[in-house]
Amino acid sequence: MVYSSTGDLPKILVLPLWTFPPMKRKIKPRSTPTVNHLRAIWHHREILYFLFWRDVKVRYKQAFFGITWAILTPIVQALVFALVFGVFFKIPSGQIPYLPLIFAGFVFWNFFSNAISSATFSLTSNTDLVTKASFPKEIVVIATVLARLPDLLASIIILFVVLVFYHLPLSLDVFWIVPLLVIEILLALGIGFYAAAINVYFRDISALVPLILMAWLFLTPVIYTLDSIPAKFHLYAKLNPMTGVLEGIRSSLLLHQPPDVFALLISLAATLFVLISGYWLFKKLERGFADVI
Amino acid sequence: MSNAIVVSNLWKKYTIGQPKKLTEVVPSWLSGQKPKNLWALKGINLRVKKGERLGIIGPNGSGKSTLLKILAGVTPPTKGTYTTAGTVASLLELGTGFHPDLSGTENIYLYGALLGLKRSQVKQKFAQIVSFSGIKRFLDTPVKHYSSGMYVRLAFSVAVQLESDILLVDEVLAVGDAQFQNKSLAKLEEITGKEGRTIIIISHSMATVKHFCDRVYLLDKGIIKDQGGATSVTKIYLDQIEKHGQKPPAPTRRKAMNIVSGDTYKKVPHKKTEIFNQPDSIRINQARLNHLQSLGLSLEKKRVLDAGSGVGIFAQFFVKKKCDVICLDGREANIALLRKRFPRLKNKSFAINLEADDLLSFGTFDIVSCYELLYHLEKPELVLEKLGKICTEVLLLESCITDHPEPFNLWVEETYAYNQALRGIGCRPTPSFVISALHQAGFSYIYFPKQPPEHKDFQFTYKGDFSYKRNNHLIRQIFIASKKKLTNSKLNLVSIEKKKQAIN
Repeated sequence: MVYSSTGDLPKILVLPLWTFPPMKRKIKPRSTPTVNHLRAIWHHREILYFLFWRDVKVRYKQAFFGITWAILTPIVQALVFALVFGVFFKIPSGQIPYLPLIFAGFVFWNFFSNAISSATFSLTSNTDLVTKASFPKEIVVIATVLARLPDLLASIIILFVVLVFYHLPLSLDVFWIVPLLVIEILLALGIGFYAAAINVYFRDISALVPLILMAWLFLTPVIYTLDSIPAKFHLYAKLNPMTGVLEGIRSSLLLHQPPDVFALLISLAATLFVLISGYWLFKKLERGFADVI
Repeated sequence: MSNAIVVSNLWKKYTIGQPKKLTEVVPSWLSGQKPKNLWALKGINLRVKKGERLGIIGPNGSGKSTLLKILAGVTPPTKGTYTTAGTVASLLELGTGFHPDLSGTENIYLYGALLGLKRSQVKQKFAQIVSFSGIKRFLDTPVKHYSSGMYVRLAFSVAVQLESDILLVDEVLAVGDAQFQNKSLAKLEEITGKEGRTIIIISHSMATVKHFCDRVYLLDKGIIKDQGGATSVTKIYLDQIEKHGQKPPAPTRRKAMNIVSGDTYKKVPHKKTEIFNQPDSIRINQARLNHLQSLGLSLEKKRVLDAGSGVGIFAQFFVKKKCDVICLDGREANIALLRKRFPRLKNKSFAINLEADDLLSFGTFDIVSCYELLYHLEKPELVLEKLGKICTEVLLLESCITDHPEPFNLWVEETYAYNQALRGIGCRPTPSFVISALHQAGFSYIYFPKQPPEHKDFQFTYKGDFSYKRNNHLIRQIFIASKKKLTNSKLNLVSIEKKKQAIN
């Protein structure tokens, strides 16, 4: 059909766009998930409390020496590394004696490492909670991570004893530990979300996690200080979120200096990224937990 | 009334055989192998009104538990929607989240939190929980040292404190010992009876479903097969089982327990078959059959119901007399063995609970044989009444008895033996009890054989001395109950009065 240039355009072309019938769209639930998720966690806070409390209680009930083990581990680690690296290899440790330096490192690293390891198994070792009870499952991971805090507090007390023994006074800068610890907990939680959720689907993660943690330990200034590695690596070292945390804790505790701002910002940014993306993935995979586990 | 639960077109897919190791996952991706899908629910639609008590029944793997899990929010549906109005609490398994190393008290709080109870609520009801569970002495003991009965009692005691608008219960009622079961059923009655509370119960126990539910859905292979009143739907289900020869539901009978001490109970084994191949057993059965043969009753070519058939010794006797025999027994193991021994009875034998299940559907019978039946039952008079309704001519009965003129039923504790009940409690009714029960069941004429069978259990004299054993053997009596008057020189007509006089 041939149309003349005026007046004979097919009707459909002159219709304004909005008169088209609306396409049928799949309606997705309105997405303000984070707020709702946080509200749900708050709603189930009693479960969080009791799971936390159960983890702590069971751990100390089962072993005869209970909390002693939590304290003994960093002490033995510090002694062995102090002997190997401080005495045999004579790694420089600046103005602070090597032993308290790495003891402080291990106290906070062990919390991080233990929190992630136990978070990895948190869902798979609580199968009945996943398949038979109805509550946001991230609560299990959060409770497991937090349940490592009493160990940390006990070893921090021993750390203070060690500092007194070495005549290392404290200053007000020690309060920097609080925000640094919060960052560390959130980072452990973020990684814990990843590991716990993926472990439900692929049990290989439980073998991979210790490997990563071992490598991470040596790439983080735990048994050495940032200053003792070549300056050209400093930037890369600071990209590791745990560097900012551990260096910050040590400088505020032992050197009476506030943490390095750049390293701290990197830690904070990396932590938020890991936490949010980990939580997002967790919630994404959570729908299948009960069927797959 | 408004709807508490609306489920529309609900589908649930499970993927089976999904690999969990990377070494298996990667090759399966490369080879394009697809995991198998299993649709557990295929388009379920249902509505539950506020305050309704709904039952869901169906064979194993029919999707009942999946449906409840979705409603409980444990797992999401693959397709479809559901809405629930009000707070939902679910009892998918008693004791979920119990930690073996924690004490009873600690687990009460933990479990309470998992079920959605506030700590203050648990604290407030703590005394109630403890007294209901009846394990006060063990509250400080780690639950790993509890017997399974104690464990379940503790969990149930916490669970019944739930005060949600909607309660989902998955087969948690068949727990604990008989005494606690009665208590918990009564408690459940109380909490389900509350105004405006909506309950969904999954159960294999038709008695429970009939008792608790206003309405029942029958699920099979992920599809709703039927719905309606509890009595009609359970009947449809049982008929369906019978037709397809599927495994019938476990007998609904409460399991009797032997009280050993305090809080631990031991179940009496009930899964064994009747002992039929021991010398004692063979002797007494031979005596019974010879005696029955000698009575000269007309037993040829009749329609016979063998109630309490055991492994089919009597059924075989009647089959030889060209009778059409239906066999019923309370124990699945017996029926299984009977079918193995006599394959031609395969479609005519059923495991059934004579006390709870419907017998009318089997039709009527000329002769009902219930030798060895009464002492296996808890309510013999009830069963006799049910048998009386389907019996048109003669009921043959043999029972262990107590020697006393008054009509009563004595219960004795029993062990596993060839001549005894297997559920822990055995009946020892007096002859006048049996006669009364038979009269009530519609049999006007009750006869005793003049000559007892050739076995020591039957050969004794009545003394009215309250005993149910003589010289270390049980005493038994044969009753021939008839709706019409019989003329048989080998039988004596008896009545309660006559019997009393005879004993006195």
